[in-house]
Formats: sequence, structure tokens, C-alpha cells
Amino acid sequence: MHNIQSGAITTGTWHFLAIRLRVWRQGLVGFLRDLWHHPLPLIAGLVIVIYILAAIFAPQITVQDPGRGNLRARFTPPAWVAGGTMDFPLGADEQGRDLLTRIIYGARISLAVGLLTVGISVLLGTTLGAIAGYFGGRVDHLLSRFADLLLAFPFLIFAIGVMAFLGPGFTNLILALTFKGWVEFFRLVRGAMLAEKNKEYVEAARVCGRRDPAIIVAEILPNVIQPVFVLGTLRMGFFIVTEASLSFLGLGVQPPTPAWGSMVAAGRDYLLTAWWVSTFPGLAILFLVLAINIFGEGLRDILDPRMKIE
Amino acid sequence: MSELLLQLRELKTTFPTRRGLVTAVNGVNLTVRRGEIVGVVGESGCGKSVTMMSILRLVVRPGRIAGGDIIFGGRSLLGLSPSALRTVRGREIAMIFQDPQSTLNPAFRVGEQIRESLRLHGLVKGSRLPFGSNRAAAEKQRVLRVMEEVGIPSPVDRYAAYPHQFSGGMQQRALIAIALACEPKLLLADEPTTALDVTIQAQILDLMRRINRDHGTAVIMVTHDLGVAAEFCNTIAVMYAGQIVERGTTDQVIGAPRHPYTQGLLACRPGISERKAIVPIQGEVPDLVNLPQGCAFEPRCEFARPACLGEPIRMTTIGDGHYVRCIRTSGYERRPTDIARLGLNA
Repeated sequence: MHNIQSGAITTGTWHFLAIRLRVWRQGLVGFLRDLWHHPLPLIAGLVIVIYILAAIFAPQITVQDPGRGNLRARFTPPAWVAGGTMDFPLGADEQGRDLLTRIIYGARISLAVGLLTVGISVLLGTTLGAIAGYFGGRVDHLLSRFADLLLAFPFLIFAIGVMAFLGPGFTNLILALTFKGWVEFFRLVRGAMLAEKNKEYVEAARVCGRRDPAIIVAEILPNVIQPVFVLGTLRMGFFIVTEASLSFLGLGVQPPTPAWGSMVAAGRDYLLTAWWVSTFPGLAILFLVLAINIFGEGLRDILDPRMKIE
Repeated sequence: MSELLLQLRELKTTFPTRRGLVTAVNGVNLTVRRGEIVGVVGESGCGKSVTMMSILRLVVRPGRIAGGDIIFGGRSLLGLSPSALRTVRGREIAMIFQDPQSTLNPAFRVGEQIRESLRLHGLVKGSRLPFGSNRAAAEKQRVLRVMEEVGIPSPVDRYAAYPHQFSGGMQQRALIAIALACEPKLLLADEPTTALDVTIQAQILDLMRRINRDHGTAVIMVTHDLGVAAEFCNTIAVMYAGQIVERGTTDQVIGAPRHPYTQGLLACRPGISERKAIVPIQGEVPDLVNLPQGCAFEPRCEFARPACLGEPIRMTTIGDGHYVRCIRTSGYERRPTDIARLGLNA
């Protein structure tokens, strides 16, 4: 094996992407066909799609302003409870803002945090894991010990610490979550890399005169990437819950931006008199994370060839 | 005599281990001429495969080539830069492996994998952009031709198949197609038929012989099967504990073996036509960390005598390109029992 050689992005990479795109298109069709035979993940997937659509089209599907309150409408109960009106289908909060509107807008924060955190973690973890696993040696040693160090902290406490240090805000929230979030992907990819790099097809690629970066990207990664997708989906639910926890503690996205965690926190004081203020944002978290987890499990079953029933 | 293609001169490859330095290849001299088929025969762990990987300068770290030289096409491979080496690998020297199943990348279509080596070495001219060039189509045509040549039926359909959809024999054919796509001058075949059953084995050997004849590709055939070597090779080198112990034409080595190890290898082959007894070679392969001074085969050799130890044994010729690393060939006094056993005329 040689040192890392320059020129990782060469025609090899382009060629690889061209092939991959074709494979992905074929794979997507096959995947959707498989999904059709797994009703539970299918439903979960639809729920996720609904959440995503709601987040994207929030201004179009809501009539009220999520930020402006109406103190006369304070604690209006949900529409089906005595005293409720259809103006506030899920009731109003302590400032008289429509809960449904705020929940729909809140989906933007949760999904953005989930997608961004998972995206950055996957990218970072996969890159570092591939390098560490393939080249080994001192780089691997350093990265692995650093990963071990991060794993020694409980996630939430670590995130609270980082947020306290950085201060609240959306960007800092993403930073705090990814700072530890990449480790899982790093370990997954590094382990898979260790197993794959000694296989003969890698040696054959070397015999053919391929460079190390091309071997990693174009030969090995396609063989180890599927579990990363599954783990990514499952971790997304976890990140969303963690974001909600931080927002609940006041360390996440700051008011008046609606985030489910801070909405639950806001309603906490009125739980006995106005239960809906906390309950509905809580249910929004519950259903989204449940759907994501079911979808992730389903993804694992579908992608695992051993689980395939022909 | 045809032109020299590859020359290994006193090649030495070592691996540092916790127990000490393992000399996996210990002063190997080997010559391959253009269009020649050379067999390298020996037990597992005798350094055959390491020799092959040394030729490509792909010895796995921490192993390294510790001495000697590799001359290929008139220049030393040891002096080449990494990028120059990559153009030799695959383009001029190709290799096929023992286990085709694990040598093909499971994530890609077979045809694309064959095309990959063409693309990698830029053999088909044209735009390097992935889209909007007819280069890919030209490469595909060439791949289909190669697939046809190595005997993959209906190559157009098989182009898009994944490796797991191929049988072992087909996988090996695909590997040979990858190796041949660039028309290399030298093919290193590391036990290419070991994982295949005998009928497929015969087909693959036949295919390789045809390629050797039609393209003039020289082949180094690594095998532990003397039968394969005898049938397939022009010359044979027998390796033991990192050294070549006997070298000569196939007729010389198989027909009149002179090193006790070669004789032992021949004696422990099961016969089919005659029901002869299999005579195993006693003892074990020596510990490569603590090689005995002198002959490495001495502990297992039935002709061993005190003179075998002490000095390293040199290769000596016994005429017409037949070399043997044994003191009995360099004029020590033979005992009558030896003469009787070997059927030699003293």
C-alpha cells in the first residue's frame, strides 16, 4: 500500500458517479417495489412524506401567523372540547397562538435538524472511517481514540455542555449534535473497511493499477454503504428527539421560532389546566420519530438480502 | 532463444514479525522469455505468491523487498515511481487469482469491471467526460470482444450480470477477461484453477494456453499441482522455503527430478492409472524465522548428511539449463543406497 496519492477526484470518480446514477435509478425502482410488500414501513414512509410536505408548504397550508399571539384567545381548547372553535383546531397556547400552525412550522426545525445532522455526520463519519480503516496506522489510532473519548460521554449531557459553551441557536445546535454524532458512522464504516480492505477484489484493483483513493471510493464504499443508510435513518429519529430535549431545556432554537421541544416546555406549567399546549407538540415528536424508526427498521430488512423473501 | 521479458535477480522479500524477520522470498532467480509459460511449484507458504506480489511491487506492509532486482522489459521495476508502476500494473503485467468469487467486486456488473481496466489505462481514445462521448461505446465493444474470446457465452447479456450470477468457471473467465483486456505482455496466474473442479480446470488451462499462443502473452503459473504444471508449462521452478531448489524444462524437472524435494512432491501425487502408494514427505515446512544454515530441506531429507548443513547450498547446473540446489549434484560421494533409490547411473 502506498501513501495517499493526490488526484482523488479524477475521471475514475466521474465514471463511478455515472455508473452509480444508473444503478441508483434501477435500485430505486426495485426498492419501491420491495417497500410495497412491507406495509408497515410503507405507512411510516408516507407519514414521513406528510411531515416533510407540511414543513415545506407550511405558509401555504396555514392561515395564521405562528409568531403572533392573540391574548383574548389564550388557552382556547381544541375544537372538539367544549369552548373550542374551528379557528384553533388543536387549541391555542398561552399567548393565544394557534397550536396547529405552530406544530406545522415546528416540523421545519425538527426535520432540518434531523437531515442536516445526519447528513453532516454521515459525510464526516464515512470519510474519516474509510480513511482510518483503509490506511490504519497512526491516523486510525488517533481518530479511534478520539471517537472512544467522545463515546464516553452520554449524548444529551455532552450536547448540553456544548450548547452551554457555544450558546443557543440553530447553527450551534447542528454543531453540538454533529460533534458527537459522526462517531457512530465512523465506527461502522471503519469496521466495515477493515473487513473489506483485505478482500481479494481490493488486491485485484491494486494489481490493475488503481490508486488508493479510487479503490476506497469506487471499489470498497459501494460494498459498505448500505448499513450507513440504515443507521442514518435510525439516528435521525434520535437526533430529532435530542434537539427537542435541548429546546425543551431552553438550549435549542430560541423563541419565537416554533420548535416542538420548546412548545412542550412552554405548556408544562399549564399541564393541569390546558393539557393540549404540551400534548400536541409532544405527539408530533412521537409520531415523526416513531415513523422514522419503523422506516429505518424496514429499510434494514429490505436492504438485507438474507431477509428477502422471493 | 526468444527475447528476455522478466528477470528476477536474487530477489529477497522479508516480513518483520514479532518473532523475527521472515524471509519469504530468499534469493530467487527466475527468467521469463517472451511467450513462455513458466511454472512455479511448491507447498503452501513456500513464497510463491509473495514472489508474484513482489514482481508487481505490491508486497503488503510491513513486508518489503529487501534485495535483488526485478528487470522487466529491460528496466528495473524497483526504480520506478508509483505512477510509472501503476501503468505497468494491469497494462503490462496482469494477474489472476485463486478465488474468482472474491476477486470480482460484488457491487458492480461484470462487464463494467472488465471495462474498468481499459478505462483506467486509457486504452480507448476519446473524450474523458462520462457523458456525450462514444468512448464508452467503443470500450464496451472491445469488452464484448474480450468476453467472447475468453468463452463467456452471450456476452451482451452477461455484460450486465453481477458476479454472483456467474458460476465459478465463468467468474474465472471474467477475471481472465479483465486481465487480458489491456493485452498485457505477462500474466501472473496465482493458482487460477485451484478453486475449480477438474473439467472447468481443463477448460481454463486450455483457454490460457490459447491466449498464450494467439497473443504471445507470457505466463507465470503458480500452482501446487505438479500435474497442472507438467501439462501446461514450458519450464518449471520448484520452490521450497523461499528458495528455488530446482529449475529446468518441464521434461527435466518432471521427467528426471534431481532434488529430493521435487522427487518427494512427485512421489506424493496420487496416480489414477496405476494404484501406486502415496509417499508423503516427512516432517513439516521449516520455520522461516529460524532457517537452518545450509539446506532448508535438510530436516526432511532422507539423503541428509552432515555436509548439508553449515554452508548455504548453491544452485548448480547439471547440464542444459537444469539447475538444482543440492550438494549431491555437486560431486559428493553417493552411497549405493542412494543410487539404488534414485535409479541413477553413478
